[in-house]
This record gives sequence, structure tokens and C-alpha cells, in this order.
Amino acid sequence: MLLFLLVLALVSIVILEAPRLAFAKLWRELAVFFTLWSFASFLAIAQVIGLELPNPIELITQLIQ
Amino acid sequence: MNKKLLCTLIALICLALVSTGCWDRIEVEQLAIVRSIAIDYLPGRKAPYLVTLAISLPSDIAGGEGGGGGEPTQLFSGVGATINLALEQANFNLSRRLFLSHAELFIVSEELGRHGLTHVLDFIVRHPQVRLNAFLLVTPGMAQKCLTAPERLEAGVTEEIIGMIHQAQTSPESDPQQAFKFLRQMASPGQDPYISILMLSDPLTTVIPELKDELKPGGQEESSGGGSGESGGSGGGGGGEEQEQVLTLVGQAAFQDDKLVGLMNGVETRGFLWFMGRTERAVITVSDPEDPDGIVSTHVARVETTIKPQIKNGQVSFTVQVEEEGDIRSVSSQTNLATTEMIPKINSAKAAVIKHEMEKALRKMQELKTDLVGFGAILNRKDPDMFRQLQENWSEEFSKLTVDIVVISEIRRTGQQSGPVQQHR
Amino acid sequence: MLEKGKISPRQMGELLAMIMISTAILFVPSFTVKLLGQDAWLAILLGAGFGVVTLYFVYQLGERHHGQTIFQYAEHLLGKWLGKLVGLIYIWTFLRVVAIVIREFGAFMTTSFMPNTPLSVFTFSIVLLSAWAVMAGLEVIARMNEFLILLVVTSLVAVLALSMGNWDLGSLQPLFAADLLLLLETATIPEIWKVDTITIAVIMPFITRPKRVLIAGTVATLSAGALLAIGIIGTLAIFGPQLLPTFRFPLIMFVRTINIAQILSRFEVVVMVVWVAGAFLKTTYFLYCASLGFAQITGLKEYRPVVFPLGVIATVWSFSLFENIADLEKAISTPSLRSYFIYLGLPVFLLLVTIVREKFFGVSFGGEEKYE
Repeated sequence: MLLFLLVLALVSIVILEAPRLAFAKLWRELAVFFTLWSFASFLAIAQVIGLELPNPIELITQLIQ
Repeated sequence: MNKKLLCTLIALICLALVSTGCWDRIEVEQLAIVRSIAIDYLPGRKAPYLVTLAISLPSDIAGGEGGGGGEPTQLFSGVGATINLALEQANFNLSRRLFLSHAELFIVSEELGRHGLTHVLDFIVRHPQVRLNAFLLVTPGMAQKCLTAPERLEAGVTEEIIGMIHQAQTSPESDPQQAFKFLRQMASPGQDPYISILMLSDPLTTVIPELKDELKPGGQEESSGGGSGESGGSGGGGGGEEQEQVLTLVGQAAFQDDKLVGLMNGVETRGFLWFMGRTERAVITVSDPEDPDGIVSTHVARVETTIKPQIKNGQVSFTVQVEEEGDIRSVSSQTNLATTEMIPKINSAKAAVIKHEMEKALRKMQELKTDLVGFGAILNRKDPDMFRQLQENWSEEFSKLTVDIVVISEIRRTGQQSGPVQQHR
Repeated sequence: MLEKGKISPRQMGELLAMIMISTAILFVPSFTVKLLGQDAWLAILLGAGFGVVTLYFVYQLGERHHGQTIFQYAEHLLGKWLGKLVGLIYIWTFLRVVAIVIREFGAFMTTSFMPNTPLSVFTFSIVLLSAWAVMAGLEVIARMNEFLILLVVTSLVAVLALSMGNWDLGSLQPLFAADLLLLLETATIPEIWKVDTITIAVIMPFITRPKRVLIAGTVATLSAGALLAIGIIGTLAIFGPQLLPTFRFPLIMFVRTINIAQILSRFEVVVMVVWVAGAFLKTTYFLYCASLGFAQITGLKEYRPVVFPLGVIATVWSFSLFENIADLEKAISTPSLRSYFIYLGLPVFLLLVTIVREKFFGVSFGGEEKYE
């Protein structure tokens, strides 16, 4: 249920943003959007299905300290 | 346009999700509004906490003037190993959901006090609904009984007790405390907390114990109250209407950490209140300097108490200075007191009485090893290093503490009467 | 230009003050008093002072790189890749703040008001609302804040004033008993150290009179610090230094003790107003900074496409960064090397590079002379 809602939310973000960018021929924006979006989706879905991901940035933080 | 339609659709879906209401939503009609909570401790049981809730109907709170018919307050009880379990059990009898945000009163039994209040206090702080400015009271005997007392002037028993508390705050009977003040005293080093005592007893017996037997059978004194409601187990003698028991708020219980260690009676409590500078409106009686049979009553109008620590050769002592001002309220003799010679005499007599009262209270506190005044905390503010050395066994130190009490007493006015009542001889 | 709106220095100051007060007022009193006892308020004032130091460096940087955000001049100064890395560090910092604020918001609401409502409800609603507000741009955020800060500050002042009957200032004695080193260390905890001034590096190009930034920012930081310090003094005066740290949210307990003549009581809802408004604004503001930064280091023409994905990432982090409320408190109450690096080291380093390159290599970064 939660996964379904999440996918719904993620898809609606794409619907909200992507067509507009494509029509305006902002290809660079579209590329950045999709890269970031897939990263976010990956994180979110991993969180929802309970995958234990080592947070890469937190790892770096640990290294710095 | 297509996109607009989509946006509208999404908005509608979101609205549908949200408009079903919050998870924590509940209507007023479904709430059981708890006004006061009495907690008893039954030792030797697996589920020692007996929690009794006094619940008012919302309409009664709003309506105010009784409105006729129906009990204004209903009691529900539950037993459990913790307060929360007991509440859950009380819920079995309830047709509504418990709502604790309006609980203004926590009455704990002396038994529970001696066992320790940690659990009760933790419950008060941690529960999302309970308020920290609820009042704490201790009662000898069953706490539950206090809630069965009939209301006399107010709409419900809780209002009755709250009214007594507010009354007590402006008079020198006791110092009822809100939960957060108790917590604070308990937490601060060099100070022990206290809670006022609420008593349920037959009328007049607390005041004149020796009259107990005489008052019982007849029962006409004071008991004029309308209902012949059940008077919590007062046995009663022969015929005649039974007496209703009355609530009294006097005296205080001294605590060491969260444990009750002793009770102070009304006189000792007033002595204690002198240390706090909270005895305005007290009545002090001294005997007439001219005529030993006559009694002069004075009324305290202003009190100021300063407590100062003194350290000499590593030895700590305290000086308590009380500045008191008041006026004469009544005289039972023929002496003219409004003269420049007489007033100083009354002043010094009054100062001696106050000092005696304070010493009595101090002795009691030192006996119980409870620093209710917070001498340690005062020392800590003045000289933290010194206090750190003594902190470990401050209660021992306190019981041996030397406290000098200096009372400066003044009579400013003599009331409407300037001389004695004139008699034709 | 990514951002077309302009805000005045006054609006900037109000933004700064708002984001400093809003979250700190709930979480800070508990752990500072735990560390410092009755001297906690000193750390707050000291922290505000440190915030001004950060502000000063950031202002100097902004002056020397007129019309550029920190993401742009970092690239100019350090080269393309190193500059982008610096930019990413800041974006990550801002996103982390967003994540923390979202989590704090949810934790507070569930603890104090709606214990049976799932945390995610609060999280999703605030992120959605914030993302929407970010799309509207800086000018709209600043204007919205002009109204909200009035609400927040008057509520706080009113609550403090109403509670004065219960105050016992003796709780503050003995004064200055805390260890000086500990005091300094506590003042560098990011929640206390007003590190929010670093965001000026992002919004400075959009301020109408950049000369005024330093003054407006200093006033805002110090007054926010003063309000917080008074708040802590108030809670201390009611609960004393021993009892206070045992509460999760001292302010809500504080408000629960108010009862004036049996009529004026139950001000919890006021705290809720402060909190919802503050958390919303802080989330919005930091999400805005992160989005703008991300758009700039990837060279986009508008920042809108990245707002939602970044919001999603922050949301996920808000869940995954902390297991429970104890973790959250530990994270916001420990000073770390990272925060020194980000809030002091990096700006100072950038400033040094600027000065060295200007002085010794004669490079012009479009500072003073281009200005007006």
C-alpha cells in the first residue's frame, strides 16, 4: 500500500515536470531531473521496502571525522 | 487543458485522503473528561495501583449551575501494576474515551507516598495530555474516599477541592503545590519537596477531637446539608441523620526524594510557612501585657523573610530574619493597647510567638531530616564550593544545622477601635 | 538568472531570525541545560556571536564576488571540479538540515499532540507544502515570512510574559559556574552556533542593497540569540537546572504551567503555531538553497525540476538518518569536526584564496568596482 502510494507520488512528479521541460526543449534540465529523480526514487523505494542501505554521504562523514 | 485537469485530479485525490480527518481526531461527545485522579497504593498485591477518576460531563462544565438531576461527577476505578494499566482497566467501565487534559488534581494516599511517587510523577510528565500545573495532594487513608466527599459550595468535588487550594494559597494554612514545583524541588540539590494534606473526616472532629463522641449521636451541628448521601463509613450511632464527612486542607507531608517520610500538622506547617514568607493573613495571639487573662489577636498584613547562610571556620549556619507587620484584630480585656508604651510590648510578645512557631517547625523538619525550606539550595547559590562538600549527606548536615531566627515584629494599626470597648462601671 | 526576485536586507534579516528561532526554541533548552546547567543561556549568546563571525566571512566573500552565489564563485576560485565538490558539500549540508527539520517536526507533533498519527503524515504534508513554496521563489518566501515572523515572535513573547508569575530567578544562581572550555564547546554545536548565517552566501546576490547585509544579518542573529536566551532563562526560572533537562521539549512543559486566574491557560496551541510556521519556513528556505545550488552546479536555466527530487531525498533521509528520538537528539546536540569545517573552515579558505589570487595574481572577481 505504502509502496503503491510512493510510486504514485514519484510518477506524478515526473508527469508534473518532465513534459513541461520536454516541450520547452530544455534537454539539459530534463537529463538532470531524471538523474536526480532516479536517485531519489531508488532511495525512497529502498527505504520503503526496508532495504538497509549504507548512506554513502553519511559514510563519508564518518570518514572525515 | 489536459494538465489542469491532471492537477485538479491530484488535488482531489489528496483531499480525499486528508479529509477523513486526523488519526487523533475525536469528538467532544465521545470524551470522558477526567477532572481529578486519586491514586491509592495497595501493598502486597501484584497490581498495587488503584486509580480512581472523577469524570465530569461536558455539559455540566459548560452549564455551570448544576442544571438539576444527574450526578455532576462520576467515579470510575481501575487497578493495575502501573497507572496506565489501571487506566486501561477503568476504561472497561467507560462508554467514552478517557481525556486527561483537564485533570487538575492528583490525590495520592499516604501509603503511596511512603512507597514513593516516582511512577506517578513520571506518568504526569510523560503523558501527552496531563498538565504539569495539576495540583498534588496527599491524604491519610484512602485517596479514593476524598473523591466521594459531597460537594458543598461548588458544582463538583474537584471544583470544591480546587477552590480550597486557591483559598489556601492566600492564607497561612498550607502551601498546595503544582506538580512541576514539586518536581523542581525534588530535582534541586539541597531541597526536599512537600505536598499539602487533604483530609476527609467528620465535621468538627479535626478541630475538637475530644468532642467526637458528643457530636456523633445528635448530628445536628453543621450537618445541615441537604442530601442524606452515604457518608463514607462513619458508622454512625443511633437514629438521626448521618453526618456527611467534610474535606479539610491543612498540614503538609514532608518528602525525602520521592518518598513521604513524615506528616506535619497545621501548627508546624504554619511555622514552616514563616520561613517562606507566606503567612499573610495569619492570626497571632499574645496575652495582654497588663492583664494576663486577656488575649490580643493580631492579624499579619505583611511578611518578609530573608535567609542568609554564614560560614565560620568551615562551619555553616543560617540566619533567618522575619520582618512582620500587622494590626490588632481583637482584644478580650479592658487594656488600652493603642499607646506608645503598649505597642512595643505586644510587638516583642508577638515576635516571641512567631519565633516559637518557627522553631517548632524547624525541629520537626530536622527530626524528619527533610530540608523543605531549601537551606542547602540557598547555600548552593551563595557558595557552591562549600555546598559541594556537604552535598553528599546534606540531610544529615541539615538535621544538625544551627539556624538563628530573628523576628522583627511591628503593629501598625489597631483597627477601627482606638481604645478598649467602653463599659459603664 | 535562476532567481528573478529580489528581497530587501530587512526581509533577509527576518528570514535569518526566523530560521534561527523556530527549531532551536524547542530542542535547544533541554540539551544545553544538561551540559551547562544554569549557564546555558550564556552559550546561546556566545553561539549568536559565533554566528556573526560566520556571517562576516560569508559577507566578505559575497562582497568580493558580487552577484554570485557560493556555488558559482567556488567554481571560479577552485576550478570546475573542486568547486563543484564544494558546492555539493553545501547542498548536502542544506539537505541534511531539511531532513533534520522534517524529522524534528514530525517527532514533536507526534510526541506532544497526536501520538497515534503516523510520522509520515507530517513529513509528507510539510515537504509537499515546502516544495510548492520553493517553486514560488525567494521573494515569495521572504514575503510570507514577514507575516509568519510576526506571529512567531509575538506568540513567544506573549507566552514568556504570561509565565512570569511563576518565575524564580534564583534558579540562575550561582552565575558563571560552568567550565569555560565546555561553554565554548557547547556554543559551537550547530543548533546553538547560528550557522544558518551561511545561507547568506546563497541569497546575497538577490538582495537589493548588499552593503546592508552585514548590519541586517548581525541584528537578526543577535536578536534571535537574545530571544532564545530569554526563552531559556524563562524555562530555567520555572523548572530549575536539574529538572529542565529531563523534559524532551521544555517549552511545551513551560507553556503547560501557565494558568492565570484559571482563565488564561492551555497555550500549547500557541507553541504549535510557532512550531508549524517555523518548521515550514525553515524547510522551505533550506530546500530553496539546496535546489538553487544544485541547479547552479549542473548549469540549469531554472531550478524547478530539481525541487521535487531533492524533497524526496530529504524525506527519505529524515527517516533513515535517525532510528528514534534519542538518535535525533544526539545528532543535533554534539559538536562535530564537520560543522567547524563547513561553517568556518571552508568560508575562510575560500576567502583566503580570493584574497591571495586578487593580491598576488591580480585576478579580478568582479568585486567592488563592478558594484553600481
